[in-house]
Amino acid sequence: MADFLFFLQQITNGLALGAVYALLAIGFSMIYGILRMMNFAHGDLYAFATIFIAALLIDEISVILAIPLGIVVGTVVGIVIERVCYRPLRFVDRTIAIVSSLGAAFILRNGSEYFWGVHALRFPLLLGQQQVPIAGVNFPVTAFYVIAAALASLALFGLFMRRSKIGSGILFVAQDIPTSSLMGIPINRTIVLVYAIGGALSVVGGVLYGSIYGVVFPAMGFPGTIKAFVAAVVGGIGNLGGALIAGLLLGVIETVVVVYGAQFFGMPTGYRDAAAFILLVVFLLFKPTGLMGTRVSMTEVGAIASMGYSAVAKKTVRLLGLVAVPRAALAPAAVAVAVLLPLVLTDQYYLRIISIVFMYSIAVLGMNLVLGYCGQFHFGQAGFMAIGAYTTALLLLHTETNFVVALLISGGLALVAGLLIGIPALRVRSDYLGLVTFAFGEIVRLIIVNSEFTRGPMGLPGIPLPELFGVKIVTPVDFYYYALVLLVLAYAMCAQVTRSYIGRAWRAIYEDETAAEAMGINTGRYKILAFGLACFLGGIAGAYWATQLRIVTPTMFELDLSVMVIIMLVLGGMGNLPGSIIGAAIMIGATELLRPIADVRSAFIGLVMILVPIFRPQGLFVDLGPTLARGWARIRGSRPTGADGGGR
Amino acid sequence: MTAPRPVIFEAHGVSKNFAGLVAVNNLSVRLHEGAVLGLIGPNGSGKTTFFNVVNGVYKTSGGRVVHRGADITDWPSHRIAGHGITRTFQNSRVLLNASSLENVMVGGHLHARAGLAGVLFSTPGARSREAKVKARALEHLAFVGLTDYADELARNMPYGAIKRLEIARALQTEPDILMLDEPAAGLNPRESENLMKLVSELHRAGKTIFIIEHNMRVVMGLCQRIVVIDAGAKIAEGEPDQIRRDPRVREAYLGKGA
Ligand SMILES: Nc1ncnc2c1ncn2[C@@H]1O[C@H](COP(=O)(O)OP(=O)(O)O)[C@@H](O)[C@H]1O
Ligand SMILES: [Mg+2]
Repeated sequence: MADFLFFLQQITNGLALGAVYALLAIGFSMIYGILRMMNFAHGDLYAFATIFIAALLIDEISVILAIPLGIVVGTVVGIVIERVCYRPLRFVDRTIAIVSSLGAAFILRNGSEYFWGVHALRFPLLLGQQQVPIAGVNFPVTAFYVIAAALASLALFGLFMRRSKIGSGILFVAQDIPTSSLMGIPINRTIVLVYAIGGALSVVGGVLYGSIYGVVFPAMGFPGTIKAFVAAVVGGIGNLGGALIAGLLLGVIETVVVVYGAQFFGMPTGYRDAAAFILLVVFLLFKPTGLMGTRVSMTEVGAIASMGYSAVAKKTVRLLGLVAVPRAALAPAAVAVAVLLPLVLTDQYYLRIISIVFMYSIAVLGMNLVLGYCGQFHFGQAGFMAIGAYTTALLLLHTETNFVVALLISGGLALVAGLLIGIPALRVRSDYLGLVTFAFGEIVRLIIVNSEFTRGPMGLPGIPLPELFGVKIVTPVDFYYYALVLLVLAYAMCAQVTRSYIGRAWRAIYEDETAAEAMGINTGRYKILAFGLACFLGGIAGAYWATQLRIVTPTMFELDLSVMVIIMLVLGGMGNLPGSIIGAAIMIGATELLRPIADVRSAFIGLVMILVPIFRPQGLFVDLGPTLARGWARIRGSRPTGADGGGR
Repeated sequence: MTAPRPVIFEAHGVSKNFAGLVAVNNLSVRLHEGAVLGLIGPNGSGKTTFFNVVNGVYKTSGGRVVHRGADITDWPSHRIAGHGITRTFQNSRVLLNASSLENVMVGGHLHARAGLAGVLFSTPGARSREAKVKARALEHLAFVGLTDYADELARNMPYGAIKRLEIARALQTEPDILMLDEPAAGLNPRESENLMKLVSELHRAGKTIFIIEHNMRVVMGLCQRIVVIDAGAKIAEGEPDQIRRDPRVREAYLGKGA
């Protein structure tokens, strides 16, 4: 009996947490369902606004003032994201718009860390902490309040959507953007509203979260995005009732898994977020339309959207890049310069930095294949680099494996891991890959932090120096050449593949999947191939990194690493191989220069991620003048001239 | 009349619904080898949707599609292409950021496949496939009169050229059946005439062609048989002369009382 009551107690707690997820999920699902835009900043918006409220409350500002202010902040941030990350890029390239929202997430998180610190802030238990004892088990009354408050806000929201003119406008736009615009519904204004309402609802969720747990902290943003995404998928994208139920379900599952996992299997509670991830993969595999079915079949939504917009939307100028003309001649020259460099540049510090640039370049080249050529969202390169690094570290530490073999095993394991998550994700929608990989990177880090064999947060020090045929790689010059060899091989591989029919297939998929299929391209297979190669290169990069640093720790593989790799790609230009190396060099250079002022550095990274897409969706380094004009035009909201090349 | 050629393609009672809207209603079509079959009907009558279903962009809501003895119903698009059916799109879907030569070479995908290892190590096999695909692509570009545009990005090409580029790309798959969705839409009369010459040339070369076209005069001149649909359902089928005289067709096109 007591067991059963305990179980009920957990269910109650789970439902309360689930209510928060539901509030997050509804905004996310609405934005995705209506605009086909994955808002990666959704969770960070909720964290930012909630921490803002907590800070106000700590300054003894009245709750009655603080919460509405926080909701206003959430709404405004939502609007700003729409205005800066989404609207300017709506007709340019969806891929890049999504990267841009990732930049917003980064800025929000760093912003809140800057203003209010990285640590948790106390949040008053606004709903009390009353408990009713039933047969010796205490039931949290708060949980019921939370559930009631969430349901009340959602009911209000539902009423608004159904009864108000604005609400029905939103629902109409969700059906069909072109027709709504013909019917005189102001599309831009309606879309802003979707972001604003989504933001506001998520802040309500944040307040409830704070009231349950008594603390709020910047790092709660990313799991928030993931939970919102999982609940949105499980509930059926665009199906708001489904999002509600799935949110509640997710909260319950998580709570139950954590409580009983710890009790019966001694599972560290750090695995909490893994529960959501597993639920997601199960759904992607077995019921991709979600629990309650999507409103419209997603494949058809995709087909319509791509039909309607492909001509307009796919405006990306695939840049021939910095070295467009003499590319063929340039490659050997560049290699020659790189080989001779250590003769001139003897400073070990610089050699080490350049080796790191090479290491990043390998990871970025991989990203270029999948994101730059094939247009599939891969946002979790850190996870694959971690797999590579830890595999190599463990093999070299505990076995007699040669480092070359370890390197190949590392790449291979990263590849296998990639296939395991990529195949179910890509089977459904390429967009899902974005969040799945994003989450996967975090899961890998969680496993590393919580496991014995990785020595948790302490990491693995003392990795032996690599050795080949009795020659040890010791000095920075040795490592420089080792990195150079890897980079040249990786580059050659990417060059061969992108130049072949495979690269053509990728580009066809990037620009127009339906047309690619009609030409006999098995789009699913080529997406997987691009993604697999990217993971492989990520693993190789990580393996190299482990040998150069001679230590691996979980902090090397935080989210920032994935973000950094994407920025390097965007900077250098998607679909531009030499650009990948240049992007890596610029970012590492900037990081080193800005090292003394860490805050500025984060802000810099976030800004780069938002500004580069707006001004130079094709990457840096091509004709500068007109680009600036176009960027401003996009911010001002006028459609860039020539963007409607397909509007015949 | 020449001897009847075998039927190589058959749609049996194909339907497609969109959330309550019946876009294609129990439509049956047969295609003889080497024939040009026209599909006409008022705007919004479901012609493009029928192509989309046959071509695997949409799943059928009912009915079967058979090509050369294989039931290809609801196959994915790429498999249908592999089985020999390719199409062009009403709103031309070429790769705007690729040159026209590359665009056509994309159509050669099935013939270029050499495997990852072949590509990585540039095996002689892979190289010769690639060279063949390129040579063939240049032939197709020449056939549609775009040799001068070979290195031009599609985004910089005039509309009429894009229409022809799409046909070249479809031909590059070496299709058994070529489906054309309004290839002359939006072209001026001279371009339109040239395009139709191209289609008749393909016909003379023995290609089987299934064409949607709005311009009645063009259809009548080109097709041996015509299927007319209205609101997703077939209302008439026959030779051009029969169709011209058919009162239901006149009604569908000109409104009641015509
Ligand atoms: N993806 C879709 N979802 C909903 N309705 C569609 C879709 N595609 C086409 N339709 C509808 O099906 C009908 C037939 O359209 P279509 O096949 O394009 O006509 P046609 O090519 O004969 O002009 C139209 O009413 C159109 O609005
Ligand atoms: Mg049509």
